[in-house]
Amino acid sequence: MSKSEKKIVLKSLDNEAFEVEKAVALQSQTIWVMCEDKCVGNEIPLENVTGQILAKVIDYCKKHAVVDGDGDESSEELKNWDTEFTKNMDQSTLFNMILAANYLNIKSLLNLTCQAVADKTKTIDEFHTFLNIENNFTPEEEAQICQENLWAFDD
Amino acid sequence: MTTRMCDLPHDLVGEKILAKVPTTSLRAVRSTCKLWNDLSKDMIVGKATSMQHEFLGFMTLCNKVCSLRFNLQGIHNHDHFVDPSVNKVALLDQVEISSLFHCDGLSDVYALGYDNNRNHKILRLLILGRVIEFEIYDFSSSSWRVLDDLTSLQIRSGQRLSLPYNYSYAYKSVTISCVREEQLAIEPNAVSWRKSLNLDTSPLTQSLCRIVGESFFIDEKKKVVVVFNEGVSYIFGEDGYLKPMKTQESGAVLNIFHSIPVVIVSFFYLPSLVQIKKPCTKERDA
Repeated sequence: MSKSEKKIVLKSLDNEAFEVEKAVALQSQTIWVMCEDKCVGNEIPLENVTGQILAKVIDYCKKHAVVDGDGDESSEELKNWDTEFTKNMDQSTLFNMILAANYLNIKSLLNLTCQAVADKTKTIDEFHTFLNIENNFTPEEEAQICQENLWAFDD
Repeated sequence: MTTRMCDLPHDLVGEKILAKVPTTSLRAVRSTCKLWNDLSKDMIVGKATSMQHEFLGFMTLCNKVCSLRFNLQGIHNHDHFVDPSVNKVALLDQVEISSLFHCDGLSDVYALGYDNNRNHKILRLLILGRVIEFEIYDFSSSSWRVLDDLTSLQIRSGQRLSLPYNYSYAYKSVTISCVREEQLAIEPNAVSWRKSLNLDTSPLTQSLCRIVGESFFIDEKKKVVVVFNEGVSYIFGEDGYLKPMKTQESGAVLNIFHSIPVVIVSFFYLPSLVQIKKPCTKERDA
């Protein structure tokens, strides 16, 4: 890769442009494939991601990129950074991050964000409130589900 | 615009999120809404989580089928103590194993396994005199299915049942030397059990002169076998590793091994090649 090719421009749904190191952007399999195919120039339009979310995705990729001579970050530190990264995200952002990570095909980010959603919910009520899901069981059905799953463990 | 959980594609919710929910929240997941109940049926336990840290299996206690959980994290660390706990599978109450011993001294035998999605299945051998019946229970469909062909096949050939252990007719004692067997086909067209690891079982036979009707579980990833015996359980590793642990009682399930337990084997379950092949025969160049 020559020096001139090191930068790449990512353009969000709302036309916000981000210039990033290629090594950072290529963590996205989707972008990697686009670059391989040479079907795009130096500017890659990402039609499913807003600027606000893309900025966060780029933050993540920058942290996780293996850039020349910058691999001192210990895995412990990275883990802590990941935890902090998702800790204060509101649910809407978190879901948008999941969608973006899925679209951009960044496996580790998808795992991280999905884990964050899974971790934030422990009880039925939490599922309903945090995830904004309507309980569409009748009381009889709910009782039956509960009965069927008595074998599962509560903490 | 606010993005909500329902805006995510179902495969993401099921495979990526619900699969990460710990086993301990499974009941909550199932009770949340109809969609989640359905999605989580494909993954009977939190797959990602339980693969990493937790072991979940099923066993019989007091003639009831129970689920059993323990943490295998740090299993090779001698300071770490593994506390298993058990829960009753109410769902299986209708199969209470009351006719444990028939007058001829034979019992039903259960074998447990799970497929790649960790959907647990129970294989039941009903031994009624000279007639042996096989049934398989699928936790995702919550139903028993009778395996017909197998019965006649086994009895006609007059061979001992090729379950992955040596089953003694005299008094339900089993050994785990059976895991040395190669892949064992229960029914050529439906079920097969495959070899998962080699173990030296001599520490067990030496230290426990009387092993009666124990259940055991095999965790392929960790390469360990956990044998449950009267009140004490033993964990084995490939390297001759042996560790006793106490069996913790949880909730209403008491008197573990008070009654004579039914032999239960937990094994990795694979649908047969015939079944796996089906989706692959689709024309790929279409």
